[in-house]
Amino acid sequence: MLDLLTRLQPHRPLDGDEDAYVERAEEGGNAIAAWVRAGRSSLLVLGPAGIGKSTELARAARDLQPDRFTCLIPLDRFENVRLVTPERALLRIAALLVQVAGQGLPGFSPSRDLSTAIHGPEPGVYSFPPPPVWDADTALRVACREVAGASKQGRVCLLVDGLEKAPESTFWNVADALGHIAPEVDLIVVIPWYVAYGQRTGEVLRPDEKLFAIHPVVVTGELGVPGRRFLQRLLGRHFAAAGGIAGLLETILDKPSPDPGVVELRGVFNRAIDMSGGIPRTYLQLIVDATMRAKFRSHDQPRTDDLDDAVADQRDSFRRLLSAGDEVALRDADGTDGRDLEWQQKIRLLNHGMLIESQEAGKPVLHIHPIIRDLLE
Amino acid sequence: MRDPSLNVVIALGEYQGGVAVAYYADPIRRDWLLGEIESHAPSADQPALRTSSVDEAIAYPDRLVFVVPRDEAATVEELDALRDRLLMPPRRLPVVLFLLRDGPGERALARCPGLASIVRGRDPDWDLLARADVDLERARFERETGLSPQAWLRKWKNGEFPETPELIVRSYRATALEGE
Amino acid sequence: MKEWVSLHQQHRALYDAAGNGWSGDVRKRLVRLADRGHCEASVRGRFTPRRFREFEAWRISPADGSSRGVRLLNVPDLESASLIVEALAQPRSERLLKFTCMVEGLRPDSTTWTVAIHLEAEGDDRKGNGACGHPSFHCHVGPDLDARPRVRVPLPDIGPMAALDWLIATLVPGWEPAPWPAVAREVDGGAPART
Repeated sequence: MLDLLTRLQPHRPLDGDEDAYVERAEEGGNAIAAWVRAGRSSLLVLGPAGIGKSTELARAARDLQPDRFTCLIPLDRFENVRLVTPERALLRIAALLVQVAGQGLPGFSPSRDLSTAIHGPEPGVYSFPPPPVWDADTALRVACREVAGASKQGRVCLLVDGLEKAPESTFWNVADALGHIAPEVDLIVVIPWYVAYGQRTGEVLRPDEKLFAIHPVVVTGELGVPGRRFLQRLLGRHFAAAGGIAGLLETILDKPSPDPGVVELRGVFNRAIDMSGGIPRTYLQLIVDATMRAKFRSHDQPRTDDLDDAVADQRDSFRRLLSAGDEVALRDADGTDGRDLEWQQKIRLLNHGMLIESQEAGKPVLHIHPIIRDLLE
Repeated sequence: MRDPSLNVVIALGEYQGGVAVAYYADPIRRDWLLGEIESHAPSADQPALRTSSVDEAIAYPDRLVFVVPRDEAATVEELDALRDRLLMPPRRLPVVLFLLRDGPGERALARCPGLASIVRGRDPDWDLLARADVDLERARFERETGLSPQAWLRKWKNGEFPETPELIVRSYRATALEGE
Repeated sequence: MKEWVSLHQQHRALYDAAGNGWSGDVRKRLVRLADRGHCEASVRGRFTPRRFREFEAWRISPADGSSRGVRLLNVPDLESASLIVEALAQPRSERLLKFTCMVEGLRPDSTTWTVAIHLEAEGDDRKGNGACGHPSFHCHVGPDLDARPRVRVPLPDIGPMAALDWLIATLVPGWEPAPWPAVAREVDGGAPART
């Protein structure tokens, strides 16, 4: 088991299919799909690093597939989104859509005009009528129309991931261009936090658009029971993805056992949940790092001291990210809705998961991440 | 208790997000740290590829790559933007980014939450992790031996103790503590 | 006497010659031993320092808190054995101040066997009566370190890493940092070596 637990991949999103995906109680891919299916327009998704945005996007794509031709576009896997121009980003989206359609739609091939707009003219080939000169906006619009026309669903849904890392100017330019084609396609875009909390929020949020925040799952108190269960199941799925027996970990963790080894293991996993702040990536990282320590210390399973050291490593990492004034701001914001925080600081602290936003009685409340709390104490 | 070597092994671990960070105090220590970290790699592997280019690092997913940036902040931002390419296809050995402690790269990481979350817990600062709590160690020594490191070492040099492996090791600890 | 004075001077030069790269060199040997199945794989992350301001005390930290050093595996002539490496260094001056590597083992007849290489502490390297009886860089071989007569074989100025290689080569088949053909190429310019 030790070897398998060290092979978990906390950074890789799970597939959206039934075997790998673990459904959240709320704010999951199914909720994203429901919004789109209800005939609304764009959905703007945001959440702290490691929360599972890519996984939920993959799930939404799968759920929407019967009604829409869905195309998942991990833009950052193909472009340096910090340097990419808006034109290139749009052309890349168009190219990926055409490529996915070529693989998924029997007999689909893009028109010559579209191909030329995306890839440039074939050297030395004369054609009539001559290929039109389109901007990237137009090329994407035509790509969406051609794919929608060739698909049985008759409508395209683009799920764009990675744009949240683009510089502000690039983001706004691409967002504007996507906005122009929005009526013809469904758009689900992962956005940066400054869109939600920044000064230009009104510009991107049109009346028919919705902000969809994926929050850390609640893991404390009675309300935390479903969240804890979600994380345990997620661990089980990652364990199976690493080659472990499906369901084995869940059985160990669920079944009452007097075996002191099982009791300790359950304690370690539970404490990792407490320290994760409900962020899936953090939870899995803590388990992997504690297990690696166990392996090198000849422990037969991760022990409490292994986990304590893994937590200490994360504490060091968080410490490096704190800037002057953060400590006071964190303490002041704890338990409030954060309205008094300076917005750039708020965005940074939320983005890193140092501040965790949750909904309490329908209102947003901020809490300090448990590892940061440890650090401040 | 944490120690630098195990933290390096964890940072180089096989599952990773393809990237780790190694912090150093000054360029002289960095040059030493390059060799020290490389010595943790499997013996059959090629020597680590040393580069300042993120593109070159991405181009060699089967090699341990040490990125020593010319411009730390720009390199951190570039890695953040391209980090998915470090995940797919999965790397066999990671990219280790060398950053000056409290330097521009560390500050840039605070602006790159995606990359920061991937390297969290996988960003050892060798010298800080190696630092012993001298008071604690001295107290432990005195508890174990009933003598201060200085007094114990005097007796050791006078040949009053047998030359057993345990006591040889203890003489090293005593010398280190005596120098404090 | 002049041979011993000369040897002592050579030994003293070893403290400076080590530089700071020796720790990586030790680990490379440990990793290679592990990769060949002669010790636990965990050794990769166990050769580690504690820093006391200007000094660093290095050792192979025990895997489970109960044993010293790292257990050697598949050593034909010993039932069980542990390799211990300890060192004291001063990184600022790039000096290796003390170095010990040793193997403690049990032979098939259950008697103990020890081989240990010591580079005595710099500044405290004139132990015993003189440079012949207690050379600064020496090797013990015997049932244990304290068994009488206490043998301290003087080592030439090959340095701690080469000495560690010698120690490993004594026990691990196929561990030969200087195979004869390579030596012949160096010495005879390619002529076959005598065997």
